[in-house]
Amino acid sequence: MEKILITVVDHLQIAATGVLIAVLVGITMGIVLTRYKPIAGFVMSVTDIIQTIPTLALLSILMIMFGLGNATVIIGLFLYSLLPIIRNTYVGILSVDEGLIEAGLGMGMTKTQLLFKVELPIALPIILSGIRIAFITALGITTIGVLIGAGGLGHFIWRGIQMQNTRMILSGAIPVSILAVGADLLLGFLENKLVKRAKRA
Amino acid sequence: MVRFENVKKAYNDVTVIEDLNLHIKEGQLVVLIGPSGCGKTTTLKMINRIIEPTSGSIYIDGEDITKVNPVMLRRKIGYVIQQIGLFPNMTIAQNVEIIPKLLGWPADKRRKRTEELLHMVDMSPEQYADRYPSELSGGQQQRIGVLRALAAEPPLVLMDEPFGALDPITRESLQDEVKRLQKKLKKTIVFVTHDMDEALKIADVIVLMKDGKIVQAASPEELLSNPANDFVAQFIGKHRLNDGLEIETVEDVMRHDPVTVTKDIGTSESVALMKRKGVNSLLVVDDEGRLEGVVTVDKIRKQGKAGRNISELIDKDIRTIPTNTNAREAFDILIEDKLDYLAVVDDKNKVKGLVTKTSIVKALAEVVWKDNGHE
Amino acid sequence: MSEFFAFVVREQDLIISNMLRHIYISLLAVFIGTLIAVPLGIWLTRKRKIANYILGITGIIQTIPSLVLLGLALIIFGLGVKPALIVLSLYSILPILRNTYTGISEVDDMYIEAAKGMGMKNIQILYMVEIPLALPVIIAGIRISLIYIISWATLAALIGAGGLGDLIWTGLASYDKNLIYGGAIPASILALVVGALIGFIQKIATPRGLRR
Repeated sequence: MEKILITVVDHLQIAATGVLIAVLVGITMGIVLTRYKPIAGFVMSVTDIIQTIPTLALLSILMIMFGLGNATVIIGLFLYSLLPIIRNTYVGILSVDEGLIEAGLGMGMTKTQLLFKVELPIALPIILSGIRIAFITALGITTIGVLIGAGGLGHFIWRGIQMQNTRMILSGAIPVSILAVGADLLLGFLENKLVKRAKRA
Repeated sequence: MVRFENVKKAYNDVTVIEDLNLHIKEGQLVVLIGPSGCGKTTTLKMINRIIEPTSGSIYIDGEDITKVNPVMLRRKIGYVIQQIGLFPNMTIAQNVEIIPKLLGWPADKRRKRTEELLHMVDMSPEQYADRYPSELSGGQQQRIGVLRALAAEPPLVLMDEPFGALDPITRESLQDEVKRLQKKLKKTIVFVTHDMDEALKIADVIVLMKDGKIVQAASPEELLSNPANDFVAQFIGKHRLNDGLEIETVEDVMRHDPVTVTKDIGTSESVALMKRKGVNSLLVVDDEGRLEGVVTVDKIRKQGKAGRNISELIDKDIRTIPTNTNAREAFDILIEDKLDYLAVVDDKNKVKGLVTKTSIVKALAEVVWKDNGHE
Repeated sequence: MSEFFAFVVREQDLIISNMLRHIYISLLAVFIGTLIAVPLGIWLTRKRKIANYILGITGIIQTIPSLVLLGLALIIFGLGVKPALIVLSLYSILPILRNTYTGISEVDDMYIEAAKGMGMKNIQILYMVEIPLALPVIIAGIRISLIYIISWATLAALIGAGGLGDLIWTGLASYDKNLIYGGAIPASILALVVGALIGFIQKIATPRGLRR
């Protein structure tokens, strides 16, 4: 039991690290792209192509490049998480009402103030929705990480499959499913709250 | 042609049609009109069984329509709706030919019919038959909508506010067209509208409804010269007769829909609202609708801070006049004091309207040119 | 790199046969999934209350990691192609079901009313109006599904499905770079080509009047 709990924490850490890096890079890129729209299409296509590559294929190629272990999985998670985060940041900021931006500029806000006081707060629910998608996907990909020598709950499932041991499979499958469904509900709840707050304002 | 006998329609406890009796004669263009919620659209849609009556009977050519399969019934009744509803995945010709195709007409007969119909509204088949609805203007689309309804030569056509979404000029030409087609093809048409000008222009018989009942059913002339009661007189008057219209108080010359806000609205939101409504100031009112002042776009731009509300930017120094002020007097104040606007308030200081130079000019134009079609 | 090319030339039969098997398994799974998902999606648009329930459940299933579902399939059905196909088909239902439901639900009411008013039967409304208008959205669902399944099929090799996953997998176990590349690169190309191909089909299937 204790071992499972430690693995749960391990699993969460790997997934969260990958997504966190993607959040930092992805939101920045999303913002930059709204200022350089002509290259937005190109960047989105590239991230879209990365997402199309089968998970096991990408992870195993990354393993050859970066070796076995958690770091390689985190790189993979980062790559997979970029698309939803960049796209949602980009779409979210572009969906801000022109009138509000004009009002902000008219009041003498600088572009930076406009970004932090108007654009990002309004786009937040959409950005969060991208992060939610990325994180749920990441929890799933992390289970595959075991195949390239990383930790996490995939370990139990994988060993269970090899040994055809039901208990072993379930001891990984149940916690990771609870994590995924729980994270989805929690982040979905947060997102709803933000949307409601935005509507009231 | 169509006869309603003691027709009633209720949704749960709410009665929308109350004991309706109506006889629509063959070859007539009958317009159902009345304020929204009067039951005119429900009445129309009961004829092709899109809506089923709660009790009573409807007969077409003496046959009880509940005895006819609704699908077969509808194929013999043309139907035109306000949203037009041309199928975007089909060409113009395919749209027009749907019902003939459902009825199993051979292809060459269908094609010939389509060409004949397009010629009837001066749209050349070579140019339009193979286009898609999205490539046509709104007016052209609704012409096709009408043709689609006429395609299988139904003796009866139902039209549910067909021109409501079109601009005034297109609307007029389509009204002429429908009237012309109806006379030429001798169709019976039941037509729903809320526009009295439209009704007076095209109707053989106008059926004026209110609260699910027929108030008066008569020819346009009869309706104008002999309104059955005050409601009818008022309904025609409001829509049609400028003869009695005089400008007396400010209520006749003001805008009835000034843009008002409460003072807890944010600065950016107010600017966005002004931009959307095309105005440069907003009247600020309290929760009861009582006037508190005015806020202008200039002031927000100069002194406003993002994320704050407008309460400290309100200009309380605003000229108001009571609703019963003489229009002439209001005009004089506006000109002499070089004001942009006057707020019109009632005895409780509630905002009722806004007098601007434009609103006065509009009111005068209506009297001079008897032009009130674009409210 | 040249070492890898030599490997490809030497083992081309192995790579090609695994690729064909991969394509076969993925297409078959999505085909079965489509056969189930499209009618089910249409039926759900007629049963709104049940729809919320079922779409809620499929939404939850979609968040569960793929390896978990494959593990469960192993527990329930054992090793082999069949269990792999079953779980892949079931999973492929989800995106197609959602898109079919959304696509049909989003057909504007005015088209339905116009169709009804001119005397179309319900079945005629369905295949003359609703399905053509929803087709681009339905095909988009099939595309998403197929890309997922091609990815999943590499994992399904673990429970005996065969295909390119076998190569990757054997490569990982023996740390043979060539085997890994030999499975991973064709699988990636396959996913990209299939994605582009269906995107193209989607464009063709969009009625001309609906294209922008």
